[in-house]
Amino acid sequence: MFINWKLRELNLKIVYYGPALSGKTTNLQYIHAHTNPQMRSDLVSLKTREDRTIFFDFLRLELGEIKGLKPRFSLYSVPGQVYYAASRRLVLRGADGVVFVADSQRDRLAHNRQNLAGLERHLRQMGHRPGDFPFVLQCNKQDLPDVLHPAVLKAYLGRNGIPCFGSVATQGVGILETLRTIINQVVREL
Amino acid sequence: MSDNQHEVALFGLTPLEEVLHKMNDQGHFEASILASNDGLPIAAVSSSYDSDTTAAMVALLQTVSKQARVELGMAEVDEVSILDRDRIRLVCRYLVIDGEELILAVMVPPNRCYRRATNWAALQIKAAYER
Amino acid sequence: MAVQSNLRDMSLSSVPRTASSILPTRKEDARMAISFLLPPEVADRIESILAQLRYKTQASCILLADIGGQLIGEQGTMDHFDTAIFSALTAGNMAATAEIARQVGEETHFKQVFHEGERQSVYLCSVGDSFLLVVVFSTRVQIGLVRLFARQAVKQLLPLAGEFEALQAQPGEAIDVDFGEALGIEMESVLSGWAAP
Repeated sequence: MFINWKLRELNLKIVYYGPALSGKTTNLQYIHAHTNPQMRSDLVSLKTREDRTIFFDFLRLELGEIKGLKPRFSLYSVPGQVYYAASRRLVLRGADGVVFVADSQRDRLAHNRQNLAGLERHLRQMGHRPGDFPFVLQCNKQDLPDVLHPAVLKAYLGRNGIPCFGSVATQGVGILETLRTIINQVVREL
Repeated sequence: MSDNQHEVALFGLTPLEEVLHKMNDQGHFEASILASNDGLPIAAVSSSYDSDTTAAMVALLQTVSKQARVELGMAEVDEVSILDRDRIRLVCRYLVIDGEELILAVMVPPNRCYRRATNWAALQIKAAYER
Repeated sequence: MAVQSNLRDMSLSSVPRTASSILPTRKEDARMAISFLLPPEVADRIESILAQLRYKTQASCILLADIGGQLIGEQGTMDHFDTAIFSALTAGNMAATAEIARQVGEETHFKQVFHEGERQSVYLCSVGDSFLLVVVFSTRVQIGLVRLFARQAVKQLLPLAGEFEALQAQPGEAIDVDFGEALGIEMESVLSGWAAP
């Protein structure tokens, strides 16, 4: 978190984390398409030719003044493939909250677990107790066949007690609810 | 001269470049270059020499200064001067400002003095740095 | 802008001793979570240092950002230039470059990256462990000049960075339950009902 008292800006960073192709970038694309252009930046995507995130996506939301402070949310999404672990660690720097976008397909459970374990390790290294850090679980791709129900997936990932949403990012289902919730979590933690 | 004015209007000279321009004017130097100790040009003003030549100048002068110190046991070098058969002189002054080691090199035409102009420039460079 | 990314690692003498003795030594990872606030008087001093740097280099734009990509201070502007995006990108750039150096066993305290463009070049350098300085300047200006004055600015910025980093972020009474509720309402107006044409 960064507060610039001179400009009265409250700056917060939220990172969308998760395994490859789980829908992290899609989340940001949807948010970008459904927010007033006056209140957000362009969406910046560093990606490969095949549209895979190579380093991060970035989108900044600028809300109006609230009680003398202007909230500014920087949203980042990380690349999901295993060999990008070092890049994910770098993007997590300065994060105030995380959205874990899980791929709800049954056969992707191991990938979800592995990726989540990596996230928890980084959070611990940053000095956070995983239970205390603002966290929302998004169980994406609920429209596909053979998916785990969000409540089940949450249990499998060992993340009971945290906000959890089912979503279909490609159709925008659950995206804005997730965003609202993580922002509320982050602000509550202040 | 009109080229320089055009340049100022278009790009905005940095304060250090202005110092070199004025020094060249004072001393009637053909070229001058201010560089860091590791050879990176900081500012260069030259009517006749291209950047490769001036970089080579600096590289040569660094070597000389270092060898004078290391192999000849001389104290910190203040000035090196190389005079060619046409009496063109390459002069190099070594400056230290706030721990930064800088090299000021100028090409002096035949039979011109250079010490006053380069002394002036050294003071101006220090002032521009410390502003 | 057509930018040719020539990553030149210019190995330099180390950061001035005075600067490194002011900052406490901490493991880089532990710094990743630090929050901080910027009091107006410190913001003013930073602005003045950046303004001096801009004058001495005739730069188009100067940014000070943290390693998480957050913009802290800026001077100068460019058309169609979003400084928030730029600070996120340059932080990513520095982070990646520093990691590359670390991986090949070339860890250096003072990190630099230089992108040489056709008309504009970009020079980045680290300010301690948590911040970075960005200078966008015309290719007409020598890189050595930018490096010289950027180093000077780093020496001046380091003690300030130490000052405001040490302040525990105290959002103050402004951020309370009411803030949370008002934020919720504001979010609604930003997010709901708007769709791309």
